[in-house]
Amino acid sequence: MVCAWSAAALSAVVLIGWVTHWWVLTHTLPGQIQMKANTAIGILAIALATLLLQRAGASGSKPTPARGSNALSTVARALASLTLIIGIVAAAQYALGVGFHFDELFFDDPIEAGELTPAGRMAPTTAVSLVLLGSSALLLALGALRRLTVWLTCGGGAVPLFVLVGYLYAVPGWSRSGPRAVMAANTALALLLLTVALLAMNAEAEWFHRVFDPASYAARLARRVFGFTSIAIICVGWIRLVGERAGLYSTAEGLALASVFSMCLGLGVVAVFTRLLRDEERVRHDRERDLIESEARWRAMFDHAQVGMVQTAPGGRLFLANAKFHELLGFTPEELRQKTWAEITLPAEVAESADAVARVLRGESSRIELYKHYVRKDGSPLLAHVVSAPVRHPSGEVAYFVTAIEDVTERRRSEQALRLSDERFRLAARATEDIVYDWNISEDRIWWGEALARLGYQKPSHTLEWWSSRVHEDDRADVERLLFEALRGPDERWQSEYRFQRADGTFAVIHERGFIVRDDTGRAVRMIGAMSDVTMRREAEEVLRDSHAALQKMVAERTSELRVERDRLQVLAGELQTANVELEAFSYSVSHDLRAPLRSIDGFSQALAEDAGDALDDQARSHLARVRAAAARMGNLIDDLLELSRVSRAVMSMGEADLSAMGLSIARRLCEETGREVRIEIEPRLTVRADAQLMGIVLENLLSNAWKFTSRKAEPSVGLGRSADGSFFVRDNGVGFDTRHADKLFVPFQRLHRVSEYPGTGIGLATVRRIIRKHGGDVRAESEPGRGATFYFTVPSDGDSA
Amino acid sequence: MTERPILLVEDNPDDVDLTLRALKKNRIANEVVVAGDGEDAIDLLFRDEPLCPGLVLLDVKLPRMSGIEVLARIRADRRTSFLPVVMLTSSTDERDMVEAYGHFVNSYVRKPIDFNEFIEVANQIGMYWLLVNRVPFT
Repeated sequence: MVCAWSAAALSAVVLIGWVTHWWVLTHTLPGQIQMKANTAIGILAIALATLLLQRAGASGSKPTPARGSNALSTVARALASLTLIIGIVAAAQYALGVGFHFDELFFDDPIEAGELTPAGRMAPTTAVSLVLLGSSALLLALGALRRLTVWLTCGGGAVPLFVLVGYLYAVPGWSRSGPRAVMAANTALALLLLTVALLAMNAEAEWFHRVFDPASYAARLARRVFGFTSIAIICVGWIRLVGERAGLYSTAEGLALASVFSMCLGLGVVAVFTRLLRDEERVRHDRERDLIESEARWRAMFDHAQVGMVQTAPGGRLFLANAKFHELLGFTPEELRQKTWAEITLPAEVAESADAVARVLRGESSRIELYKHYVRKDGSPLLAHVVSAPVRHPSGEVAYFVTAIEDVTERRRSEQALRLSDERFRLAARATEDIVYDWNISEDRIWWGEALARLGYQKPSHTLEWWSSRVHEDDRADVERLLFEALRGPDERWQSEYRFQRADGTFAVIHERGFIVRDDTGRAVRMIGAMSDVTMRREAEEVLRDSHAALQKMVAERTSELRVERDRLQVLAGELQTANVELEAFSYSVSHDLRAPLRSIDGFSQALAEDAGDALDDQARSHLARVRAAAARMGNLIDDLLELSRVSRAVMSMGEADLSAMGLSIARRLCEETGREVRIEIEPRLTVRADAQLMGIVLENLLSNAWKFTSRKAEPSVGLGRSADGSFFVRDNGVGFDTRHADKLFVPFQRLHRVSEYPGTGIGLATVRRIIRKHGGDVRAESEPGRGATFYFTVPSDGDSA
Repeated sequence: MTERPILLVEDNPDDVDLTLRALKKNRIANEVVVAGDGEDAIDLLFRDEPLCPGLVLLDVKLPRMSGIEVLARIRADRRTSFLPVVMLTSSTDERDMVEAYGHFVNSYVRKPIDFNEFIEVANQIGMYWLLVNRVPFT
């Protein structure tokens, strides 16, 4: 195109020169040969024809030109024909040696001196070139004999090229006044440009297109070599010419030199060419290696990706998928290759996906991203996050899609679980009486549980500032300091107790516990906790503390009272101890000192009776006998009293006491001592846990009493047994007594009978009761006068089943 | 029958007379040396020309030095350690008896109030300790 326009412009300028007779425009350099007007017309016509053909596309690969381009083709044909005619006419004139005056048809040619060509006539070479190029353009316009046109064009181009080189070498006589009619330089240039334009137009000139293929490295290389060798050859030729002209060497020598130079040049070209090719080879090799590596990397990524990846043809066929994709969907590679994406998509969602694909194919969006359900081989659905991007041909057409799918079933489930647990948290917050909160620290936003309404706040603000402004001003500084220390520190928990203002202005005692959530760097980002209203508890504790103090005071008072009491008792115990000691001393002296006078009374009464027996009458002797009896009774009294006292002081030694055996042995002794016959009934196996020695004294007293009071009975009978209620008894059929006086029996010195009738000290039963009571039991008597008496006694103890 | 004297340690003169009378009634002819209290008894037993009795009748309750203490001194001295000692006393106190036997008394006898019984007791003591019993010569 550029060449055609340049040629057209050149010829137009020359024509303008001819029209205006402004000769500057008609030749290249002053003094050189002009381009003739006819030549300019011819060149212009071919240039226009070429441009028109280019426009009509007739020169393209399409054999039949479109209908709209027919008119343009016709004009082009006409123009080509015109040039052909101009050329043929000029050539014919030369060949026939005649002049048709055709040359001056349009313009006058002021013939300059020495000019060889007839006025207005172009040079013969120009005519030849125009004929060749013109016929070539005509054939191209007709769309026939294309191969021939290439040769015609080349031939048409060779002529001006020769002329141009000739001008370079300054061929002698190539001027207006030269001996030969020669083509003008500007004509040669224009014709050369036309040649190039025509070759570019001609689809048949494949070699030409190959050379000028802008994308080909080989073409670029070839062009460079061509340019370089052309210039070099011209230079060699020029140097040889200059040398010859200067007479430095002969023609043959010059030719030899030029040949050597040409060979060296050829060698240099080959060397350079080889090096360039080798570099190119190396670059290509590197590129291939990079490509292979990149392919391997991509392949590895594709195969081992943890997301499913698949390549899909624009038609929907799945032609390559990675292992994860197969694993997710359960198809084998063979099965998958038989399917389109629509066939493995949940039918209800096919339309949505198809829509997204269509948008990409139309170029409305660059990628697809959506959630959709695939259908696995086993029919189960798979929820996936799908990202798909097209891979395009250089033309912009979509070659295929690369699609990545990620199984989000688990993610969805955990999102759901999170939502659920959040829900649980809210429900729990509602259920508890504590004021639950969730403080987003980085955004300073506090979510409050509903329990905050308990403090009267229906619509609380959600900032920390709101909270801290309601903490009692005496507590605020401490609470805030501790809170921020906890947030900075490594601990997860914090707790505090403070007074918090209710909506009505009063204060509640709050015990707060919080859990601090930290991010990876340890920064506190969140705190979840609960504020417990412990006002009631604290008040109750205070009341409790008060009552505790009161109680303590009371206990202290009571203790001191008791201490006084104890001291008093200690004094009493001391007094009692003293009394006991005194009693012991008393009974000790009784046993010694009261008996000594009795011995004297008795002894000296006896001595008197013996020594003065003759001088004493019966009454005096009777008196002495009474003195001695009284002394004896006094002795008994003392012995019994000592026994009572000893029994009271005795330390008990508990053991198994066989009352039956004891009773039997006592009764036997009484029989022997008194010589009386008494009926004795003793129940066998009367055992009791008691102090055996003391129980012996009991039986001794009771049995000897029974013995004594049956002494006047004709058939005396004494029994020892155990009654149904577990109490023991000693029974006799003696004189008995009036039950009204039963209580007096056990008081010391109390007697119900005269000593003259039944001797005794009145201390025995008192001793019995003392012993029984010492054992924790009791003793009682039942009787009717004249019908005997029964003495019951109980001995409650471990071994006794009373 | 040994001719050694009987040492009677008794503070009550009535008891001394009655004891002497009872001994005499039993025809015990041994000399009876009476000591009115414990110290006198010790003095008699351990003076330069000591009394060497065949039997000591010892009351428990004595002025200045008790019968138990006298017994202890008698048993403590090598010369008198085998001397027969009979406690003759009104006391039936358990502790007195335990102490007396603890100091190796030979016999513990309670003086009965009935004088006839006392004569019998005196007879048995004299017969046994002066006649039946044998003591190594010291």
